[in-house]
Amino acid sequence: MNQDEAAPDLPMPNAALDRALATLPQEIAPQRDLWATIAGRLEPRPDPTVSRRGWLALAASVVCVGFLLLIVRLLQPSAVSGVPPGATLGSTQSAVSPVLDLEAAPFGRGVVLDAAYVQAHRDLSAQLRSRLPRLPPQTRRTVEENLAVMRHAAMQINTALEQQPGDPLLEELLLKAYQDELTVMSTVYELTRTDADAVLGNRRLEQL
Amino acid sequence: MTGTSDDDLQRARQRLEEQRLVEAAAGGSTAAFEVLYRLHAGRVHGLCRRMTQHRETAEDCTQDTFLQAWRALPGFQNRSAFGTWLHTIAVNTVLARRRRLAPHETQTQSLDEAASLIADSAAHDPAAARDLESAIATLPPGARDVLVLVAIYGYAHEEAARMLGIAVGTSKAQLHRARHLLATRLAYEGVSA
Repeated sequence: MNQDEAAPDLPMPNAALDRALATLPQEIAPQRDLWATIAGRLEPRPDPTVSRRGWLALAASVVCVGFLLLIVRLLQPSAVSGVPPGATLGSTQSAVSPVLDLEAAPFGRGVVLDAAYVQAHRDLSAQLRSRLPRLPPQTRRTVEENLAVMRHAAMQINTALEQQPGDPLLEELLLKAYQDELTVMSTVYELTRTDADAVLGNRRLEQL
Repeated sequence: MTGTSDDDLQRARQRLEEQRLVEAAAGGSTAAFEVLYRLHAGRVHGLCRRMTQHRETAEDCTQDTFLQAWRALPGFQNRSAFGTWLHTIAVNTVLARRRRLAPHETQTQSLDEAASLIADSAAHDPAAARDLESAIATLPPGARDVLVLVAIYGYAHEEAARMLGIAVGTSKAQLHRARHLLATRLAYEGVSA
């Protein structure tokens, strides 16, 4: 560090100034012990609850999506349980591989998420996996690529948050990345409820 | 050679012990977190004090830094040293506070504050240190921030720039500016390091 070239116009050499600065103590004890105040304000670990209001909002949105999925499942059980006859499963399976691992945690290591939220996300991912084969290969590839980009972005933001904890912009970006992912997942799910819907929805999915 | 190895071993032990403390604190141990506070409070407060140039503000920032660290600890991945991570939080805390406050509230109390800063520290040469701290206190905040991080706390420009949210080139320019201003104000020819 601190290897800049000496500036000739300075009234003193950089090296001498750097030496003087280096002698300054790095530690300066506070005049009073701050620990008592800090200890009194330490919050209990939010385990396993979500630690931020944004996460609570996100969890609420997932609960809504999960509830919607439950209703859809009750109304159209055959549409959820598997690929109906006549679907394009055979052609898509051979055309797109490998299948995106939708069970892989898309969340950053620095985020504490509610267990129910994680379960709801897992359920949604499982539902989505059953629906993806109904999409034409190109559409499916686009969806998978979009999801991969969003998850990569979320992981990068999480990494940045490890370096900049509490940064409000990064937290907002992370929340947005999660919301975008959920939007794509729920949109794909909704648009592939039936074959007819899938055909119509493919046009919209191309715009994701 | 042997001495260096012993130092390395000692540092490795300290780092391992600190890692255990961090893990315990991340798991909810306030006792472990207090030990971490005792280990790092001086450096964190020193950084806050020099960046804010105000005793009470520095104490508030130090408290906020440790409170934020407590909240963020479960996400700490040991990719950087714990002390560096704490300093990053401290810098963010100071900058956020500076943005919230009106300009007149962030003006330094240069000479008195510098004198009290030296009184609180363990400077080897109190007189020379007082002169230097007084000169640092008069620097513009942007130049002072870089000088403190790079020249006093030994961070590379890349690290300082990341902490401060500025470009590396800006960091280098600010350091050059800070040195020039310091040298001019100290009339350093007569002061020995």
